[in-house]
Amino acid sequence: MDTRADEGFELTGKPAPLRQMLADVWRSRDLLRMLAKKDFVARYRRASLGMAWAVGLPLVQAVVLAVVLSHFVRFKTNVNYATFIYTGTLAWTFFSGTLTSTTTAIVDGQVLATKIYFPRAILPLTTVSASLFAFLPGLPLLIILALAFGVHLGVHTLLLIPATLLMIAFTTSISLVAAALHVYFRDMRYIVQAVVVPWFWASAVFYPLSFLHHGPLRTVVELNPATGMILLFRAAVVGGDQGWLATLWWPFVWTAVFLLLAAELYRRFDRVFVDLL
Amino acid sequence: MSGLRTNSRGDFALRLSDAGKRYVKYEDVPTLVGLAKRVGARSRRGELWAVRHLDFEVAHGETVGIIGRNGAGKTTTLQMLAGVTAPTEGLVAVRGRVSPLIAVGVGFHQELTGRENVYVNGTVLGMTRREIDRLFDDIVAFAELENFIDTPVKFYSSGMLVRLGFSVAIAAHPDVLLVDEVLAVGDLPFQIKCFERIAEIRASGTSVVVVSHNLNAVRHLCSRVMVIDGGVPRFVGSTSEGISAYLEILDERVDDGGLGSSAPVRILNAELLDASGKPTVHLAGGDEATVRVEVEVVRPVQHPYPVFSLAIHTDTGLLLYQEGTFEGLILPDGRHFDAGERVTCDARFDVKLPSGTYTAQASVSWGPGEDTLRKSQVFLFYVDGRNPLLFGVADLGASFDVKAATEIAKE
Repeated sequence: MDTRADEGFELTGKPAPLRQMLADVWRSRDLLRMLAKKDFVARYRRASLGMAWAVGLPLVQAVVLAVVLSHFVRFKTNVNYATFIYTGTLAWTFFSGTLTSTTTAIVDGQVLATKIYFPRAILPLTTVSASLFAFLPGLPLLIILALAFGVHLGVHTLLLIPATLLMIAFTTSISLVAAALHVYFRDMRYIVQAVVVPWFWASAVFYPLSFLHHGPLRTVVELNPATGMILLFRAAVVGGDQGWLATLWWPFVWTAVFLLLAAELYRRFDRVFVDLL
Repeated sequence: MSGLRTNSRGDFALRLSDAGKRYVKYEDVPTLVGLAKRVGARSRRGELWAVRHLDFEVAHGETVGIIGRNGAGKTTTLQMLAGVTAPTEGLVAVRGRVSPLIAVGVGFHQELTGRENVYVNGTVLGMTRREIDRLFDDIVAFAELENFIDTPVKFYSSGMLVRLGFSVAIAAHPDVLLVDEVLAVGDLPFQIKCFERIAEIRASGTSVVVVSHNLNAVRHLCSRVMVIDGGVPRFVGSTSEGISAYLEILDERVDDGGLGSSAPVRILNAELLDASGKPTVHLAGGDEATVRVEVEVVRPVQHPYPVFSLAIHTDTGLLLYQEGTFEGLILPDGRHFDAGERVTCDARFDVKLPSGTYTAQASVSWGPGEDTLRKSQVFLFYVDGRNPLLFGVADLGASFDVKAATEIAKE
């Protein structure tokens, strides 16, 4: 199986057909794997604790939230609150961290991108993949934590697999769009940084859905795709919040919307992103 | 990338057909606020053609040079050939794998070892893992980095980085190799090795496109050149004619000192002549050449002026030689220069120079002072050295007397 684009190319002013662009991305999977590995290794090599940081950060956030929040409010969760929070922060940290760092992926990759052609989508995909390497060790830790706190695990825990996949799909779709827009509008990274803050509060990371009474606020939280994404994780570990299944639609819908948008953006601008780098 | 298919199925490796690239001017690059303002206004953004009407074909195994001044559009052309940016109009077609030597060491990560970087860089250049496995030892050997390959590249010297980058790029065994200036980097033995390797892969059918200011390199490597100026091709054809065309373009831009009519001495004509007295821009190493300046003395100037002088610089700006008639000139009949008199000065010199591009500055001055009391004309000229393997700034013409030790013992 030859995976190289060795047959050459023909370029005109017209954007490439979608099929061809997808084929190009698929052909570049070796490159994606290599760049992601490089990204990941380079990210943690100098730190003496290395990968421990990748696992440690969401854990720290979970501990802080658990300690602080249980002091002020008592959310009615039927399971151990620390596990409840860690489940949410694990998914949320991946999502927000990846989105923030991926937004600048194409612009940051300009040294490479202005010299050599490869589908530009590879750059944000690389960042997502590198973040994923850092996320994965968090899953066994989550299970250990749940067992340690006596949370009942069972067949429903297998939902962690679709939960992780959905999280990857949604994060990837929105990150692709943000990275492409950032090439044109350099305000994007700040917009993303600003949006992520209220987004966290609206994502049911540290409170159960039942905490919110029916009303506009609850509607916002339910429509928020990150909510459905996080509630699926919770369903896998600490059991689903009341009414969680209804929120599950939204991450799927938004993923589809962002993917369509990304396909159009990359198809149209793939070969001209470099003009603005 | 597609839409249009060419009818031409000729044996080309690379083809530009009426290709042009238009950029949006920097100040008109869209911003969020700007976009909001423009909604409904539909005003046109300032645009700029970087290159246009490029028509060019490179056959398999052919080596072609692209020359032009800074900002002429060479980089944009290379970017289109590398597939990095699509043309705004026309077509760019490449058959086979393109390896841009413009990208030597691109993507090297400081924290990663040489070995890791070889794999990353090779993959970026389109090689598969298996290919890199197979070529790894060759790559390292060519770069002469066997002892450092597991050291993070942040500890490499810039020469080592270039060597490793070049080795990877060249190992990719591309169908089209794009070379941008990089050959000027690295020490001399490595440069020679690079030239040899490029010659090798050319012989194996790889097409090479060279972009360089080093006319010497272009001359040695390329069979044809395209001269670009102001984004449009000015000449496509043989290398020596192309280099002449390029030097003419440069000449058009050289200012003659910019002094007004107040100068008491006016340069009527200045030219560079070869050994046979013909005007030229090409000189043969070891021959004699003449810089001839004809001036008109508008007003009498005080002895020892006017002073004629000649300065020769390398293309990197190093002053090689400067001398003038500083002791003062007296005409054969014992008289000084009068107003209205026309004088010709021939500065004859031996071209004891290695191959390269040089400038000759012929000046006439009418008083002390660097620039204010002087008029100059600058020529660019190209020297074809006595020996292509002669390096340095001057051709001292050493004679090598080789004797076996037994012969010396006899003496």
